[in-house]
Amino acid sequence: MPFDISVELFGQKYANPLVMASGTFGCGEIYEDFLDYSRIGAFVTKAVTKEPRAGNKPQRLVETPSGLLNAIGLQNEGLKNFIEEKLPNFENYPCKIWVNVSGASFEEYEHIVTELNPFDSVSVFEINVSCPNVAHGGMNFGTSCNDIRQLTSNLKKISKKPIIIKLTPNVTSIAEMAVSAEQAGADGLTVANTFLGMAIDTEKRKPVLDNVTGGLSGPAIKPLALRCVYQVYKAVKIPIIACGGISNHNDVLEFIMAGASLIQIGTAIFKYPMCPEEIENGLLEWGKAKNLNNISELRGVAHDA
Amino acid sequence: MAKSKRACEKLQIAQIRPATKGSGLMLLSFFSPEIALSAKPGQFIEIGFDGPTLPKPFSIHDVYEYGIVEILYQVVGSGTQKLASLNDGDEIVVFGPLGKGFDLPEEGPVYLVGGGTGNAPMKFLQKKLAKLSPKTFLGARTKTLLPPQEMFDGNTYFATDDGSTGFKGTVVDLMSGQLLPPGHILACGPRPMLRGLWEFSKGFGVSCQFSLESYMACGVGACLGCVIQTTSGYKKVCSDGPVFNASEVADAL
Repeated sequence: MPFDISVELFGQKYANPLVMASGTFGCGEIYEDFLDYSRIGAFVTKAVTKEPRAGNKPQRLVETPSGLLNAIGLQNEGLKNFIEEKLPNFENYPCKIWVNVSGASFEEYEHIVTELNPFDSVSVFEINVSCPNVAHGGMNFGTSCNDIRQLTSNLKKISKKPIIIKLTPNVTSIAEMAVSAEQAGADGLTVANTFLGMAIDTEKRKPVLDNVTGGLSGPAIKPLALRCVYQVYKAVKIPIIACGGISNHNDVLEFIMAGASLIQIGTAIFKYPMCPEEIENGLLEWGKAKNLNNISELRGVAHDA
Repeated sequence: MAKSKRACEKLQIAQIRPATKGSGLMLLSFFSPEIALSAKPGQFIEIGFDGPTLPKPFSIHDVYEYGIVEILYQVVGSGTQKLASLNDGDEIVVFGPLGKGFDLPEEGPVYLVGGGTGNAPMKFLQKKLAKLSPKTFLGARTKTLLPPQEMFDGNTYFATDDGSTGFKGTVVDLMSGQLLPPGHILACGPRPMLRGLWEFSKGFGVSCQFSLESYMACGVGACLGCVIQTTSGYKKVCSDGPVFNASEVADAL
């Protein structure tokens, strides 16, 4: 029997555990020339807000050792444009599609979910309460147990699709945030988003990013994200979608063993747009060599030790 | 402009060496018929290699019909330093061609203007526009950072800030000193150079296109990291550009 890496989640079938992370994959149109989308389980759209957002002033990016600091500021064309220009393409993709929803108020999140409810091509709402790069909304909601609980419970009342809360790691205890979301009815959790950081240009004697701080992603944060997933798995029963510095099949295995059901690939796709195919091959070979039947057998096994 | 076919491949470096003896510039080539045949001057590729988290963008220096693609680059940071330490046969990831190239004028006069690492695309451009006999002006801080003169046709003029080769001063100074009839300007270089060229081109240029440099991550329009403020809002340098009408971006230079 070949090693089965497909995953059943929320009554939905994912071809493999690989999900392309929000903000690194556009709305799917970007990587069509390079990547076979039947080789990924899903992708998450760039965050959608009710109104268009221009985003932050440049400079928005800087590479740091094994990492990438960004402060994009949720630039997007807004919900109306998303429905008219992006959604129609979704029918053409063989993978599942999640919409990343962001807002500056509860009403804004609720409005977007309501408007997108009717579209069958959207499989999941990933609720972004963890963007570190905007002044209002974003991470503000994700650092308060009460706000997470309230927002999750409001959205659960209206959503016709699974609600996944994308948590921020920039809190004292991510497990507490996870428990709040679970208690309010969240179907799953993305653990986590970028870590708040900064860089200073010593020649100019000022921060490199115009926004001063940015979110750190890439291999630099992998051990930190892995710790988050491990802690959250201990605290909740709902599925965890791991996110943070995952770049190869061994990283994927680590996160699944820590308790993740699916894993997200973000920054790694920038350097090699076909990396999901390489990671999938790596997983298949690994499982075959170990004589395993199903990748789900590995979920959380690191906790048994 | 129709979207050209893009490729992503793991391949081996065909050749990597200094552009000439003692040059501060490196010439790297690889075999990719898909990229070589579809590339347009002003487009770029991303190269991923062991070490940096991000791939590095390089404009296409030249392509050959038999499938070789060349890039010409200066070692400016730890990424390009690492790339310069690779050898013939080492594996790299290449994807492209990316972005929008120059709109090629149909009649002259045409002026190609390069500065610093912005000299790299001028060879490809010169080749594609040979019929129109463009005049080319290339500048750099010093002699070792100028591409070798023999790469370019006889209608090419050189300037260095320190006067170590050619005209002493900037390319804009060099152009100002010649009595040039109005024509199309196609330029690539650092923003201060383009700012100077924009001033010069007012009341002179028939059209003026600037290829911009910007700090990039994905190179394909996904991350929105490289944007520049234009007359119609933020535009992605990687996928809306890197070539823009100068009037669109002049205020942000």
